[in-house]
Amino acid sequence: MATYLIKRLFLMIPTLFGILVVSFLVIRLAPGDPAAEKFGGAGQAASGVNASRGTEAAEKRFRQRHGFDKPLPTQFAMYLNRLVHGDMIFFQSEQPIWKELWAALKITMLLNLIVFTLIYVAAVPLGIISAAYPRSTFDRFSTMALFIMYSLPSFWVAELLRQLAMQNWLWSSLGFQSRWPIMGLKSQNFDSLTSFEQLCDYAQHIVLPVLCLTYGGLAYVSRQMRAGMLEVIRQDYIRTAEAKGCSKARVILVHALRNSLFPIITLLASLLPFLVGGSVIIEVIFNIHGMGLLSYEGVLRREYDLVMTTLMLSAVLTLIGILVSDVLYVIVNPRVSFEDK
Amino acid sequence: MVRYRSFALVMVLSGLLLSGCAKSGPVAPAKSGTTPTDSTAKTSESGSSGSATGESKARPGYWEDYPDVPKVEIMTEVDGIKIPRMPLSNQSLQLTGPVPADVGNEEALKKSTTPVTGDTLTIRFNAEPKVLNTITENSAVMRYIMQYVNLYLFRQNNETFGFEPCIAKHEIVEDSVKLSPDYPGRERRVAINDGDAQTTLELDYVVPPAQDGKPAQGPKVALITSDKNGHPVPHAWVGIYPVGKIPGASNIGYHQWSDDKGQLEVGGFPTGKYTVRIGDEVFGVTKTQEDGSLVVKPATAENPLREELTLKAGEWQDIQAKTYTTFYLRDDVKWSDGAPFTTKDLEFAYALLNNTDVDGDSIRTYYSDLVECTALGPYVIRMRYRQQYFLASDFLYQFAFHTPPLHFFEEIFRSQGRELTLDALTPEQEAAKKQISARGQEFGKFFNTDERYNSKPLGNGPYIVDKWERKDRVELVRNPHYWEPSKAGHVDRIIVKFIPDQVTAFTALKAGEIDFLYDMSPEQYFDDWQTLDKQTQDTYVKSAWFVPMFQWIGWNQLAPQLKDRRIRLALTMLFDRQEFIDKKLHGEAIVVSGTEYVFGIGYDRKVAPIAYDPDTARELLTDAGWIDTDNDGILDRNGEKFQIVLRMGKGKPINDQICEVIQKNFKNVGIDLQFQPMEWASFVEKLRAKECDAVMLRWTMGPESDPFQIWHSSEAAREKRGSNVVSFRSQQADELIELLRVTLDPGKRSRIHHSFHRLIDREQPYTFMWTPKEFGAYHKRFRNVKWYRLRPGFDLTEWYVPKDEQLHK
Repeated sequence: MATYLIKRLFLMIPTLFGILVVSFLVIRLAPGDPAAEKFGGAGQAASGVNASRGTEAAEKRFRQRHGFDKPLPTQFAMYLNRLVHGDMIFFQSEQPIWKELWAALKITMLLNLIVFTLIYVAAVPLGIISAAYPRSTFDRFSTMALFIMYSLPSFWVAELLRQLAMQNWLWSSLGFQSRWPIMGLKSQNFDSLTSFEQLCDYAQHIVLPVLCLTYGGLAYVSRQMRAGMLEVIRQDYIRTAEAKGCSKARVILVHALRNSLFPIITLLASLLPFLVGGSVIIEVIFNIHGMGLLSYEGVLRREYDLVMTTLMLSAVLTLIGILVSDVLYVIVNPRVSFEDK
Repeated sequence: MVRYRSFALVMVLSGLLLSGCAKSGPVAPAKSGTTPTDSTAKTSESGSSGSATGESKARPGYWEDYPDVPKVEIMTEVDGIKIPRMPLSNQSLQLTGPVPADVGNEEALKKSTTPVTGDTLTIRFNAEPKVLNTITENSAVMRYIMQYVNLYLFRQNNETFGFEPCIAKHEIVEDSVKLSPDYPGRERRVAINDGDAQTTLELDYVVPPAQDGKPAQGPKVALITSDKNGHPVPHAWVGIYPVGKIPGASNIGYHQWSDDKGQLEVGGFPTGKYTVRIGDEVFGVTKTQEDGSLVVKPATAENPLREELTLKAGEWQDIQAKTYTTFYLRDDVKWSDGAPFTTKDLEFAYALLNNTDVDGDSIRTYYSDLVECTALGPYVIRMRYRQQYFLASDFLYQFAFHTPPLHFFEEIFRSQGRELTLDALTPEQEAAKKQISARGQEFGKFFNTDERYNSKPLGNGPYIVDKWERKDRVELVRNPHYWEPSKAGHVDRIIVKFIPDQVTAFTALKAGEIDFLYDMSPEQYFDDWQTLDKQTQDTYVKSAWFVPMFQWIGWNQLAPQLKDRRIRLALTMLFDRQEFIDKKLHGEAIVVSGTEYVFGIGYDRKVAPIAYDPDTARELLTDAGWIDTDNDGILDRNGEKFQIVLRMGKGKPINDQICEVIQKNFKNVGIDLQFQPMEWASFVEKLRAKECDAVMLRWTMGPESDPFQIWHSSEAAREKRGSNVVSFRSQQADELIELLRVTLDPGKRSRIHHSFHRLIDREQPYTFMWTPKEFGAYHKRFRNVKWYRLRPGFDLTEWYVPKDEQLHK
């Protein structure tokens, strides 16, 4: 197993390099660069462009300083050099990206951990029950409800939830003193609260975004679980188990569950990159500055280093996720072994 | 913008100069050499009365009240085709005057209240600045926040637009006079390299042609300044004047000063013959006597000229009016930590602006012609401008806004055992002396990146930055050390909330999370507002106000189908701007016909905007040779179809609507217009590279702006990435612009602007659309809310909440 793991880890290097090259090309081939952005930036898109600008010389100096006037291979070499030294910067402010990246990463990871836990905690039992009693009222009802949820666009749901949260009578009738927060992650008086109040405040703020992020995934995972389970309970060994008089619960939870987890494990591979990738739409609507907005703004502002770093982060985590799910696969399914591969 | 030096090696392509307008019908009466190309003794200006020429009758082609300013007539017809115009607006177009408070706030009008302090104001901005450093950041949001934190030397009155003392108590302005090189006792000589020292030199300046894509680089010429005995004279003035007219060269010469050793390198002008002059410099208030002599009277106690100097004709060679300004600062201005604001701070700012390692290029361009900034005492400072320029005083007044506290940085370095100095030092000298230079690389890097100042700057204004929760808000609180009680502001706390998304911002207003929604979209202002419940509508007052800005569609003159001005005129006639405003903007915009602010002194109100008239447009198109010969519905000429691609930034629904209307109207006369909304960075790249047939954009500007950046031909070449994005070239426009920049008399400047306006109207490089209003809504508990015609249009220090209506403690 160790040799297999080492082999896989080494294989990741050329894969990553390939991803690096492709993403570098994609972001560099888009017109514009940080210089144009710095001196005629998107800030001006909204308010109008200042007519008395005269910064061509400054722009030229800026381009030269960061090598944007050099051919792409040279720039790629410069990028690799910075990457090796961990010297990733925002070109426009010449500040390292790490502080902002870490701030956004914390927000997104925390949100997504909660979302992911909720999804799995709810979806796995739902799927099992549906599969255990196929075509029962519960199955039909949950199937319909989940498919409706799956098809609702999240921006629309977010807006509905927000409108609901703004009904102050609702909260006062439920005994809340203040109105429900509709954006951000902290109240303005956050710093003056006790730590318990801070926790409550934070919890209040994340309810809406977490709901919006959860319901879609919930439908998807529980359907996967149901399908996996249905596949398994048609097998002969399940019939054998039933025939020898096992209780329904034992058949499902002991005999069938383990084998029906394969599709769920495959899905787990996407867990890691999902943890660090934010949803731009939800973040915009709730004014949360997580990874989604950070990388989106990075693209708009042509902050190449930031974009490359977030892409690399996802790439590395995806590769690791695939590896982990392969390993888990072997652990849950003794019929698959590393030697076979 | 002020960059006389940098429109240097431009006119290599001057062969192209006239191609833009050569074909296009009758051009305005040509001017003759009245621009002050001949620099000697012509440029003196008192700034009060009008022309120097005096009584002479108005010549044809010149203004009656300013007979030395070329007059351009308003275009009435082209090739016999009458140009239709809109009726002149009868809306009051007064720029200045008292602004009424609380318009639309019924409750405020019902009961009168007195201003009290207290409460919190939460305002929404659509973007967050990267830092709150007034030198390294140049975003509008930074300015709107920091205007409460850092003040000006003189501040602009929002109602009169005049400048009033602020940090400076008063100023004294003097003129610079350059004596002749043989003035007795003050002889000066100049030499090229090791050549002979002479009183004047002839310089044949040749810029080698551009090679393989690289722009041409003019050579540097080394000069030495000396007295008549050959001893080097430091800091001596040298003027380099074009002989005759050289396209792209400064018509008032290039003014330079030699260094400590009397050495100077010059260069970077267009190819041509120049005269290099030298002479001692004196300054004072000048007055021309009747006998032609010039009296220079020192007006400040700090002037090295101790007594009045009378110069006979020929004893001086150049006057640059109002280039020396001495500011006398108040002695009670304090930084928010209690330390006094002194001229040392201003000198510090000057050192930073001259430190190329400080990331302040956007600001630096404004001050590249500020050649001296010398403290004459803790509260007296003299600033010298390179040459006379009508916006120089505006820039100088703003200088304090870009001034960081010297003592703050001194303390940081003192704690490291180093001394911060304003002297230029090499890294070795810095190490040896345990000093750090404000002009050095290390300090530049520190200043660009250190968080202590950049996220929580000290200030001298009515408010200071209390905290900055990144990505969410900046909180300002009243400055306890503020020194001008009458302007101290009423609300205790101003919270600037950053909400980029329009819908989220609107929801935040509904939910009561913000008090003032700045930058509402027109759709929200007109349509979404109606969907709000009555209670919300009653809680907020919605407002619309003008700021200096206009929207336009530019027709790129590098595109062959748009070269002819008849075409551009026709295109303007194909969009009914008034109807669009009435239908989509409910009348909340003014159709404009020129480039200056519609309320400003530069806008010629006699030029009515060109009217919507598809028939005349068809005539003009036919006149220009565009006819649909193959009956496919699209006009063609010499086998080419009339197709235009219009590019613009994405994200404003109103712009798409404009394009749809234009597209349809164009189609009706046989022009195929495609529009491409582009993501901003890509759009800017196309714009700069001039790869757009047509663009739609908005310019924001001051109440009176300098047309140089947008319209001067030195910015027109395809490889120039400046603001002349349509490659407009007109010799006449260039001359007007050059004259305008050195004219200090506002009345005369107004006439020059008017001629320029008419010329632009005649050439139609843009289809000028309108000056739109800004939209917003604020909580009705705020009083004394006034909407000004300057950006951003409001002054939050004036707003207050009556005691019984205050919401926050």
